[in-house]
Amino acid sequence: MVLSSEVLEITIRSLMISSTATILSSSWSIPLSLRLSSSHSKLTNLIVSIFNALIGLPTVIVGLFLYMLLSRTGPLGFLQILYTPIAIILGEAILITPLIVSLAYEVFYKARVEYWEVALTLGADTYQAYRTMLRETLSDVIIIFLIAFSRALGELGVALIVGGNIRGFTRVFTTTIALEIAKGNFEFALTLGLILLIIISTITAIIRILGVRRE
Amino acid sequence: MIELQNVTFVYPNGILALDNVTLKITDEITIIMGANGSGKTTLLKILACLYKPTRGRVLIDGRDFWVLNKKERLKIRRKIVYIHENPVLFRGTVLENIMYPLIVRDHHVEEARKKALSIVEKLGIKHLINRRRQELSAGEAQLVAFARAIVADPEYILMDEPTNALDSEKREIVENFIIQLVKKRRKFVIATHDRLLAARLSSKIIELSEGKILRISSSNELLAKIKSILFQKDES
Amino acid sequence: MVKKVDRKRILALLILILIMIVSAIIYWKYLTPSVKVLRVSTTTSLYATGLLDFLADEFKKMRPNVVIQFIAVGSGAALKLAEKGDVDMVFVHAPNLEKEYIEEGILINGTIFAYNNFIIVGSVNDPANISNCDPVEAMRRIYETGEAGKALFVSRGDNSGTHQRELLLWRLAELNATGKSWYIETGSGMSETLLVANEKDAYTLTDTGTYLKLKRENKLPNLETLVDEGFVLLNIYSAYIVNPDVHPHVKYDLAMDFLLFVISNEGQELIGSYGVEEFGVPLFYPAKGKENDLYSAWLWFANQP
Ligand SMILES: Nc1ncnc2c1ncn2[C@@H]1O[C@H](COP(=O)(O)OP(=O)(O)O)[C@@H](O)[C@H]1O
Ligand SMILES: [Mg+2]
Repeated sequence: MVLSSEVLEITIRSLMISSTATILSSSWSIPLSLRLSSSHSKLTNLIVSIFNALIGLPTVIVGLFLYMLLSRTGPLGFLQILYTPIAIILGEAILITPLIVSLAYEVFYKARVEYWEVALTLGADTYQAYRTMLRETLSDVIIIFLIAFSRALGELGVALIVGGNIRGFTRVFTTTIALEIAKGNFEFALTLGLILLIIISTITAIIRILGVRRE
Repeated sequence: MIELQNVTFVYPNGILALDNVTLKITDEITIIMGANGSGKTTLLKILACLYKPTRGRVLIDGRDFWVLNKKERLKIRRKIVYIHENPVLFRGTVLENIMYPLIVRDHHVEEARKKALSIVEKLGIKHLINRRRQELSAGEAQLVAFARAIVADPEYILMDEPTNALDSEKREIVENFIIQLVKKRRKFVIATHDRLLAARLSSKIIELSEGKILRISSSNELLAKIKSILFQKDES
Repeated sequence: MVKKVDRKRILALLILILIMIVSAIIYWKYLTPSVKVLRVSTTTSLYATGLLDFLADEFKKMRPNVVIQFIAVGSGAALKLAEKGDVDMVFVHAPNLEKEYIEEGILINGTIFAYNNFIIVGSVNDPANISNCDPVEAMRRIYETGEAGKALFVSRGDNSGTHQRELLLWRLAELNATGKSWYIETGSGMSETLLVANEKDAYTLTDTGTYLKLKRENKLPNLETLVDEGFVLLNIYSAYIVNPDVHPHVKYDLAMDFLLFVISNEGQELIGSYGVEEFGVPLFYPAKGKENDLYSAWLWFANQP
């Protein structure tokens, strides 16, 4: 069936794009939140509250902002990555940054008092102490990744605006659903939604089971 | 030598925990006493260079710790260990926990294991090495934390109410160990409510009250005080 | 446990993964040297009919090394993308908007390639009695019946091409329905708007493609086509190429090839047959042979305020 092979393709593409976005975003969000959690100045508080506020940023705003940057006539137009999966990855990575920073900051802040101090006093250098803290908070951090991943997978604004919903290239779950609704194919849209739900629940379940075993 | 000069510490929420404290840690064993909330824990963490004073200086062997660079700070921190009142153990086995200070100091894993094993043997907790933190009693956890703190042989060992959760047998093991280490020129700062422990171990006692040093005395004075209390009790 | 070398290793691994994924994506479809990408912006409603993908697939049979990427957005946005140089071509059906961009020299080689009709649909009972009457007169009757509390009208209210046309109809009828209690603005797509009209037994203006699709799936049991003839219901589809003098990176030759294909005999036949199999009637009529009439009509629409 043509339909099912296209659904499979969209599924794989969505998962690839959103997981890459999550990894990319984590590569700066996690170090940043570790850094923030280990200082308690007024500036830190300000930065953290800004990130908290940005969690609710509408995805279309992020998409539009990125479009302005990446458009041919925009400042980063020469990169020619508008309407490619890379643009979606970038946009989603930016979108989930406040979410990861805020949640990870909470986790690290609580862990800092305990594990950070203990690691330092036992002779760890700063980097080793960060690593220890990460190790101790791993299950929480994984759950944060999952939440961020779900948000990336489920968002529409960025994927639509900087991805362009191009068939066979940047079409992902949410943009397909939006298009199918516009076409009046509500059942198909619902099916896609269901697949999305099943994928997210499966991953959640796997992580939960792993998490329980670990402790 | 650890020296505090006019150290004041205010928590981010505005609580003044230490108020202009000046002191030198010179004796083998220094005991810090005081009511709950008097600032004992805060003082120990300042001494351990974990908290940066709001005002004042912390001098380690004459050098102002908080103006040093990262490398020098690390070197100094590795001379001082602080043991939390409620011991915090890491994920992983007891043995892995005890090996941690050696591993972060870039010891070879095998060597670290050997050293850790010799410590647990001396402390009589060899049967615990494969357990995880959630499989330990409070007293056992405290012993593990103690073993982990001393395995890398730091110069200063700062203990926060160390004997709280210990039964008399374990308490004796720890006390003997402290005395052995003192003979090896290690220095202890111990916060405790246990006047007998203080009397037995100490050469110097610092009494804290509301973040200030109330008085500094010797253990002999304390011993006399305890005797008089006991004596009075006998009379009544 | 913790080792110093890990730091560099993790970083290296992370960067490696990133580079691999990114380069895989770039290579996979974007920069494969033999593949040429033509980017076309269009409106959601036109794209949703499936006609453009159908044409692109047929074109690809002759030119297997060409990938045509459609970006479906609102009418205004589709033209904006051309202005910003993010696409090579535009397929739209909003003459009055198109005109601005032609005058600014952004769009060139304008070509009408197809047309069809908007239709006014409504409840089977037809309380305003508009069946088969002139579209502007129909709007007047809906207004009156609405004011009398006996009819409802559902509007897209989203500035889409269809919405623009509805507003034009109200203007021609010299009436203003906005804010009336019987005038419902959904602010959403055609499918949703039709469903609302069906629920409320209301009138609405729609394109034929979306209506037929939902009708065939039995989702609109209460609605019926009431007005489908009249010059003002004419829906004209045009294709443009973005001016390479404005945006030098535009793939003019490739765009021209696709445009010529669309208006070729073969392309026009494909347009005329599209949807017949599924709906029994064509969704679009080829422009071939009617170019002059369609252009006059286009000019009239383009000059409406
Ligand atoms: N993390 C903290 N944040 C804010 N206030 C604290 C914190 N820890 C301790 N305090 C306050 O600082 C004062 C001294 O506490 P602490 O040094 O723990 O006393 P002690 O160890 O003698 O019981 C107390 O009033 C306590 O409430
Ligand atoms: Mg305390």
